[in-house]
Amino acid sequence: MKTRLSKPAAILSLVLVAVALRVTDANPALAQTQTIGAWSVSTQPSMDGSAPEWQSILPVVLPTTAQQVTPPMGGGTVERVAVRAVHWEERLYVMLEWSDFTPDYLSDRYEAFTDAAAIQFPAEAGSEVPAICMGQADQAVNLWQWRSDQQEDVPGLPADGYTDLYPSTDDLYFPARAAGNPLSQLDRSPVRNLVAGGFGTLTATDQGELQGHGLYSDGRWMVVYSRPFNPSGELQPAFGGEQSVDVAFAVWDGSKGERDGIKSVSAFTQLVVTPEDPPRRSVAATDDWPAYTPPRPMLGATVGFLGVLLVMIFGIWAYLRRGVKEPDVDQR
Amino acid sequence: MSTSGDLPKLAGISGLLGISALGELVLLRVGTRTLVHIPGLGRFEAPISILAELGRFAYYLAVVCLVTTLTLLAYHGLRTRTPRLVVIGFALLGFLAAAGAGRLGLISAPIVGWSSVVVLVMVCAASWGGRRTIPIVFFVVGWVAAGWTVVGQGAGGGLSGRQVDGLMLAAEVSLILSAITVPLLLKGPPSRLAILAGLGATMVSAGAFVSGSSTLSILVLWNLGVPGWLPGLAYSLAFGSLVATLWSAFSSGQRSTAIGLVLLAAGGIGTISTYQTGLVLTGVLLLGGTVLTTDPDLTRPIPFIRTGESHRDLTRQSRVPGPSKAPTPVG
Repeated sequence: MKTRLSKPAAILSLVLVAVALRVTDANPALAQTQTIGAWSVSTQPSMDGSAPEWQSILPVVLPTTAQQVTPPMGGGTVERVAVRAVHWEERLYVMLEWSDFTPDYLSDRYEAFTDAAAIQFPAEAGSEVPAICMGQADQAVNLWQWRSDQQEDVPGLPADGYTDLYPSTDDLYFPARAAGNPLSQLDRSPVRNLVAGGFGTLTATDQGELQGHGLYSDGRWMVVYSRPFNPSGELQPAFGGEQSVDVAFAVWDGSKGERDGIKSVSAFTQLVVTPEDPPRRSVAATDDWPAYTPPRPMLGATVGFLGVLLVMIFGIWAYLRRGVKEPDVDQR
Repeated sequence: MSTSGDLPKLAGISGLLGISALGELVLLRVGTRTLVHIPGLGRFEAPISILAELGRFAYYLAVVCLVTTLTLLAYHGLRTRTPRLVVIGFALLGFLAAAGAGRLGLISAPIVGWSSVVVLVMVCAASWGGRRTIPIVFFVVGWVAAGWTVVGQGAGGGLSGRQVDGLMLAAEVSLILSAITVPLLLKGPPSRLAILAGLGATMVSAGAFVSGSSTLSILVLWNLGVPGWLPGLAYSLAFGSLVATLWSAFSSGQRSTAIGLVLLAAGGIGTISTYQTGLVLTGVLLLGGTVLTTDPDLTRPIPFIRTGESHRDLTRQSRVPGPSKAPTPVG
């Protein structure tokens, strides 16, 4: 006997299944955005991004564009950023690399801006990613921002920073330090741990064990970030599980006037911690940026993809049309 | 040739899919992300949360409808003896299997990505026919170009920065060409009212682009999946063409065209998620007219539309050979 659902019953069934999925937050869909592998390595990764152990890893190249969401808008002078990631002993390492022919180490004048780079994660994994610019009210983001002017080994800067001639050491005479401004602390790190839940809510949070170091060489910045898998506080993601983590990147070129919202941003991609070894290439560390030579098979496939696509379409079409005379939709 | 009896629920489910996908796009992807521009966000947290929750429910409903629709279409295709529908049936089954296996972790995400590209190309080829193919092929080429920046790199690189730039530019150009040629999907020229609506949309969006509206930029980036490198006028023309076509399709009762366009808009270009890839697959099938060949339910006029154009379409459809279930004129 054939039983058929009535239309209302069918719709109700679909709605009930949707409600069940929502309640259990069981998302049947799979994200297909760019995936960045965080590969397993057997020795502690260097914080020097120019080291062969970093440079031999095939990077994932992400296009970046000007930030056009909220004032101050603009930027986009850095067209792409190369990303590599590894993990070692329950600790994640991410290396960003981009072209910049004018390194900006100092922000010692009103019109001088520093080079910088940031990584952004959703504070909590969810079925959808938050707004890319500082998250949103119900979905916060965690940011790791590296600034070249916060490193201790900045060229041209005295070892004790900008205050080498100041006579007093009492906090009374350092109001920013006394107020807790993270940029004014003596034990500051070049990487700041930040959280935000929308525009204008960016806040420094517990630094935890977040580390970072940038190196400028041959017209490129190479910045390595590192943090244990498990976060030290709230609104920070954990790594290492089976679920991938959404991630986005931003880069500032200070000499081009980029600061604050004026920057180059990527779209959200995904970071996957994997037990596999990294895919490596046998090239020197500095000889092929920004257009390094990709593996030959991939290069050929990329150049020919349009041709293959058209051949497939025409081939299937020609095969299916053999001896079949179907009326055109418009002429039926 | 099978009859509409094979797919009694397809018309209703595709309509529900279109509505829920549109709801997800408008409420979740556009609404909650655009509302954050409102100053004093804290005061609006509760209504934004409600909108976001409605959008999330629309998303899950769209996912359920999508899986059901694709399964029905695959089943329908495999039951027929028409080669193109059999190809589509196998392609859809392959996509569903790959998406499911990928979600369960049985196969890797790059394999799902490659499967999506192959299946979309197969469906596009099998849906080939007449002038309707032109905007569809432009869209699919753009989709594959954008998707290639993901599947071509994998998790371990493989494309240079310049190659990624070239592919994204090709994707943008193809997407614009697709939107500009989208009136070819209509069964006749757009009505005057639709052309006026399209012109209005073009002028408003061009004005917004010229004034540097941040909202439009975010919509282009998040909803179309492109970085917005072309002049604003190109996007304005494309938007106006899309609005005119949608208006004309709705007002003349061209149900499958209207739903198909909505699904493509919600799907975007490139490999973003299996949900959005599925929307694109369904949209291409509806727009390609392949489903119409065997399912007159989908050509039914939209009940609340009462215009003269509906009668013209119905007259044309009444000449379709095959199933005798002719749609009933309205009004």
